[in-house]
Parts: sequence; structure tokens; C-alpha cells
Amino acid sequence: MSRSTRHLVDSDLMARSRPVILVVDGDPASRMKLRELISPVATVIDVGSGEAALDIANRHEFAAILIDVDLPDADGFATVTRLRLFPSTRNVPVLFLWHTSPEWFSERRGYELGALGYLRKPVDHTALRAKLDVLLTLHQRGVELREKTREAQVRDIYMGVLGHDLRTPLSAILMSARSLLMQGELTVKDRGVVARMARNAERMAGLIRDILDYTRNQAGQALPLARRPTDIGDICSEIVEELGLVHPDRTIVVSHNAELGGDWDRERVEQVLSNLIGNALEHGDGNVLVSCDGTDPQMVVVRVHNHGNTIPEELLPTLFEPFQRGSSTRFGLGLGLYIVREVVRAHGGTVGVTSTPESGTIFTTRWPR
Amino acid sequence: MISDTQDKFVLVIDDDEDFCASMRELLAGRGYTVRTSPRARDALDILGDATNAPCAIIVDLRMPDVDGYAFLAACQVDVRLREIPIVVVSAYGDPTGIEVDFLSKPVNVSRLLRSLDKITGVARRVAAR
Repeated sequence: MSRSTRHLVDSDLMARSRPVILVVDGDPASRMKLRELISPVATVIDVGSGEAALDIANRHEFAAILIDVDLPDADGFATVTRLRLFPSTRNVPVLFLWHTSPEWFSERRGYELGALGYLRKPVDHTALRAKLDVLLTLHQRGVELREKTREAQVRDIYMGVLGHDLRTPLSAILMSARSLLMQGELTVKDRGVVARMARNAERMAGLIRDILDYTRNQAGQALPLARRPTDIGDICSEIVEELGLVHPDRTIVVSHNAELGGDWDRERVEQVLSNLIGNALEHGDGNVLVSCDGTDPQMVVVRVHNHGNTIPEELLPTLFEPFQRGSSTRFGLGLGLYIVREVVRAHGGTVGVTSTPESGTIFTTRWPR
Repeated sequence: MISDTQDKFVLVIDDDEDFCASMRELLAGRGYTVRTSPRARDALDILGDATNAPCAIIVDLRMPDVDGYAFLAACQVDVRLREIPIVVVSAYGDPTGIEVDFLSKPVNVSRLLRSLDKITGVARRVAAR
């Protein structure tokens, strides 16, 4: 990089980080004096007329405007009125400068235009610096606030990409894998490969959803529920069909009794049950048993039961907390069971677990109808 | 008379090319004839051809130009389109206030196929009347 280029970059950066103050004054000597006084704390742009001030109004982000009430081409009040029309100068604090009082001068008019005050020329150094200190402190706070807002916007975009934009390509992967699995022409080995691809894409989809839900929850937003008449039996059948395809070597047995309908968010109920059944396939041995009990007219109880490894007793009390060892797998983040609990709670229900070597692991969810 | 092929003609509207292609393959495997359109505006042109109305429309919500909401609104005001069952498939939440089947992305394939089979079954019954 050449020396001159570097210099340009440096001054550009400096201009960006330093506050900029606009001085509008018809008297060159007065402008020079103000420049001297202000330069140690801010960058000064000075112009000699109201028209010139309007010309550059949109080119900078000013921290403050110092403007003479008596300009060669206009009065300062009229110029400020017009500066308020530009988005960039609409809210910039204004200090009026004055020397003699023209007959039209009215201190009140300046305040009506939102001026912060007046400075009599020749400007007293101490008075100017005191007012500037206040203005620049306020300006700095404004800049910080805007930066924070920008950071939050970037975070929102990031979460948007994670939560939404990744879902369409994942959908394409899953549907393509499913098309292959539905064809009868695959060899057993090929089916295994495609099933593995689909299984992992499903897992990825689940993780994305968990992260998004967790983030939303941490931000204090409730899980949005779109309740509509829903049948838990139908949901279980669909999950079993989906998971059965990607776990061709496992069996999931579903038992129903009575009426299984209620007013729930179908996608959320599905999220909970596929998470629990998926866990049972992942951590358990042999068949996974899913029982849907609709004998209570007030609620439906769904139990997911597997044998095999039990959950250590010391982990049970915190199993549904985020990022717990017991709820995470080598693939997971430990958010799955936390989200399960949050979704069930949002429906006014409960979730519990028992795990013993004799009776296996049973997750019980209760869904008020 | 509506032929069997027309009976199982599904229109898919999504600006993601791979999503459309995988949807086409998936539904073709199930015996559906699929036409895809990356833009809702073009889809309305396809639907303007009254001789070949789909038995169902699968539409994304967030698309450039005319989005899914505008498309749904356009279908609501058109007498010929109002009766065509619509399945909304989107990564962006449930379109509350609109009475359509909704599936979030990534699509639960079993549910999608079940919904479509139910819809086309209904379409067949209407056609038979």
C-alpha cells in the first residue's frame, strides 16, 4: 500500500470515529476562531452561508450545528427550519451564534426551532467547551445506541439464516432422500446409505429448530402456538412412518385407545413426540413403545418407552434443563429435552421421566385438550 | 370430464429450484403430475388456463416479487381458483388467519403425502358428482 493511500484511509477512519460539527458563519475570521476552539474535540466543517449549509447537509452525520443567526444570504432561523427537512440534520442539536441583535431577532424563535441555546460572539472559550462537552457526550451515547441496534439487527439476520434460510435446502435433501427410499429399486446397502443421509438431515433440522427456540426463549419471547383441532394418534402414525424409514432396523409399536383429539399446535406436538421417540431409538435397545391414552376426557397422555441404557439417577432432576450432560448426546446440544418441556408447558401440560433397569425408560407427556 | 392425469396434477410454487425439483420427484413417485413455478405471478398465468386446473397447489410464503400471501389473496378473489385446495409450505411460521393446510420446512413428507392424498380424494369425489 502506498503512503498516500494509507494516509487517505487513516483520515477516513478518523473522520468516522470523530464527531463532526457544522459551523455556519458569514465571517471568515469568526469561522477560523471557532475551528481553532473546536478542533481539539471534534472535526469541523465550516461554511459561510445558509445555502452552503443546505448543500452539505446530507453529506455528513453531524454531532452538532453552530449557526450564526445573521447570515449573509439568509437568517439563521430560516436556515435551521430548512435543515430540519433533511433526514440527516433533522435531529441534530443546534447552537445559535449572535453578535448584534437584528430587529427580527427573537431568542424564543430559536428555542421553538429546537435550539439548545445561544452563544454570543466573540465566543467565550469556556462557555463553548462546556456546551460542546454536553453535546458530544450525548452524541457519543447516540452512536453507541445505534451500534447496539445494528448488532441486534445482525444477530436477527443471523438467526433468520439459521432458522429459516437453512430449512429450504434441508427440505430439498430430505425430500430427495425420501424419493429414493420410496423407490423399490435400491439395494439393501443403498437403502442403508440413503436412510443414514436422511436421518442426519433430520437431526440437523431438529438442532436448528432447538437453537432457534432456545434463543427465542432466552430473549423472553413465549413459544408461539398455532392451536387447531389436532389428533395425537395421527401425529404418532406419521412420526413412526418417518422414523421407520430412516431407522429401517428398528421397530416402533404404537398403541391407541379412545379419542385422541385436542386443541394443540400440531407442529409443536410433533416436535415433542419425534424428539422423544428419536431419543428412544438413539439411546434404547429393541422396540420402542409409544402409547397414546385418551381415556381422560380432559387430557391425552402419551408415553414413550424404551429398554436398554438407563438415565443415571443423579441426572434426572436436571434432565430438562438446557445444556445438561444427560440430555445431550454426542450429536446434540442438550437442548432437545428443554424444548420438549417448554412446548409441553406452553400447552399447559407436563412432562416427566422414570428410568430403571427393570422397567426401562419412560417419558410421560400430558396434553390438556 | 376431468381425466385421471388432471385429477392428480399438482402445481408447486417455490423460488428455490432444488426444492421444486425434489418436490417434483417425490410427488412423481406417488403418481402425481407436477408443474413447478419459481414465481407466483407466472403461476397465476398457468392457472389462467382453465382447461387444466390442478387438484392442489403447494405454495411457499416468502418469495420475491409476488409473495405467497399475495398469491393466496389472489386465489381467494378468483371464483375459479377459490375451490382449489392449497397447502402452504414455508420456513416462516404458520400463516395465521388463513384457512389452509400448513407444513413447515423441512417438510414432514408423510404428512404432506397424507394431506395430498386426502385432498385429491376429495377432488375425485367432487369430479365424480
